[in-house]
Amino acid sequence: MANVVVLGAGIAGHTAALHLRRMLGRHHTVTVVSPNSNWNWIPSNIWVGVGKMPKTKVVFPLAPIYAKKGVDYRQAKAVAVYPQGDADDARGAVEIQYTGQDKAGQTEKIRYDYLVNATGPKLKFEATEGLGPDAGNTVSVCTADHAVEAAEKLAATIAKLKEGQPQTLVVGTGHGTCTCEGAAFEYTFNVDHELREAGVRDLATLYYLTNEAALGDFGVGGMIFNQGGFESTSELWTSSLFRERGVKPILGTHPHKITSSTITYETLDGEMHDLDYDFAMLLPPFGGHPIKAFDVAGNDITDQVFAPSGFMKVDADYTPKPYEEWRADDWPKTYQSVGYDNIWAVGIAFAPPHQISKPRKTPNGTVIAPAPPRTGMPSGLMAKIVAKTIVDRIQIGPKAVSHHVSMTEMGAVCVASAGTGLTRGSAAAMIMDPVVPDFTKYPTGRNLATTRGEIGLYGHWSKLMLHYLFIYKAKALPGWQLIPE
Amino acid sequence: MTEQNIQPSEPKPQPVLDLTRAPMPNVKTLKARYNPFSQFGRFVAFNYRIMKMVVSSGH
Repeated sequence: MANVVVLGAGIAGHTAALHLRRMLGRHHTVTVVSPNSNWNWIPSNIWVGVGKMPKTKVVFPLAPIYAKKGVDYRQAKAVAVYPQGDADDARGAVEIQYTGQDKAGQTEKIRYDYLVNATGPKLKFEATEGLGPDAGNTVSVCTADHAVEAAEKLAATIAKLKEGQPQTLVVGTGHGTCTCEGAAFEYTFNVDHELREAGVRDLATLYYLTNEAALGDFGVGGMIFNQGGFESTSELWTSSLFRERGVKPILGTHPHKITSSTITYETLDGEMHDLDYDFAMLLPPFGGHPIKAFDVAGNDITDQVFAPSGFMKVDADYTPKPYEEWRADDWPKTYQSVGYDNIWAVGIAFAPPHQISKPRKTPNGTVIAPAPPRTGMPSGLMAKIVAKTIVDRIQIGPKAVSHHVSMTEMGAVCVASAGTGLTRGSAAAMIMDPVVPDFTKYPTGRNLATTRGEIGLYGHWSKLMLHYLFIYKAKALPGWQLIPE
Repeated sequence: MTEQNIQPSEPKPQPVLDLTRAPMPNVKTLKARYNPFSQFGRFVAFNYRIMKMVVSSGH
């Protein structure tokens, strides 16, 4: 009998847990540790954030799904890992602190034979002074509750516009090292769509404040497409959309301080600027969750297991080197932890070896470097191959070969909504193949036969279809495993 | 590509990206983006490409 523990129940953790439960006999245990009681389809938070979808359509409770599937669920957060075991037991252990199930605050040590770290991001609003819902200045769409608040504040802004009061709206990234620029892009154009539907667009000034050095970068260094017999770029394509919609982009920014009315930010040239606003949705940078690691004697080995960012070190090449020397081979393939062959980190929880988009510094030394996205499709796929590796280790033995998939091999789909409505909606639909460019394989870094970017009504249909498909899959309804990651 | 845009409603100038050279979609393109028939064709083609990629990568 083996005990498998999965930390986190987001896209990666939940996918890993469902596949493990499906592939392992009931005499093995699968335990999920997540501080959240609900599963959230985060891509649709964008629609909650403009008031076009209720929160209830993007979340559902995890406990009934796990009870039905035979997964042991602990509503708790991991606070420490003991990969070498401790004085009581040679097996690895995780110390958890409950956040629900009538045990809030209580701690417990649970043993594992195999551990999957899929803890997702810690939303580091504190990285920028005054950023985020808790500071009361800017809103976020990172969680369903944040998105509900964003919708309320946006509605209040639109009400003022209807009264004839000009308003300045800012959407973008709240720090120079943010990731998920695609989400900021989506929210920008959904806000634009709402302003137009309300008939108040002409009174509103809408800024897109981003850490990207060029439009269409999306934290992946942009994309090159084959379009109409020419090689076109995501920069050209997105610039066209910004011009058409009248959205004002400000690039290469790092906000330093946010008050209730002003965003103070630095640009790549080192200049400081003040932007007065009435409504702002700015994403936070991500970090790993603060989990400590201890050896068998109780010594702190956190720096051996986790990178300074808090993400777990895996089978990547973390050797520091200049941007020009980064290679596709640096990226992890098995997601196995450094030094421990029964621990893996998937999704946002693994430490990427480097950025995909070129990192930059201002003359003042401020780092403006979009972090690599590791959400959605790649997260699910990593989780599935790690689940398969664990199943093989249990069924075949410790010599079983690890399954592998690298972000330099896997493609991903990104459908960025630009407004809702079955006949008036639109979205930028992108396929990037692979996610991390491999210049040894493709002259442009990506496969031109499959890498695509288009905007249109069908993009909205695709995003809506993905919404229902992935919620169906996450609820583990009949045939869920047939829906690809 | 960067210029200082000063507008009456904006007391502080912002380094907004100059988009005057970005291609502006014409009426035909904008209409095509909302034509349900052509969009249905693109919807099928887009999802076919996704499935092809999924199958070839062994998802």
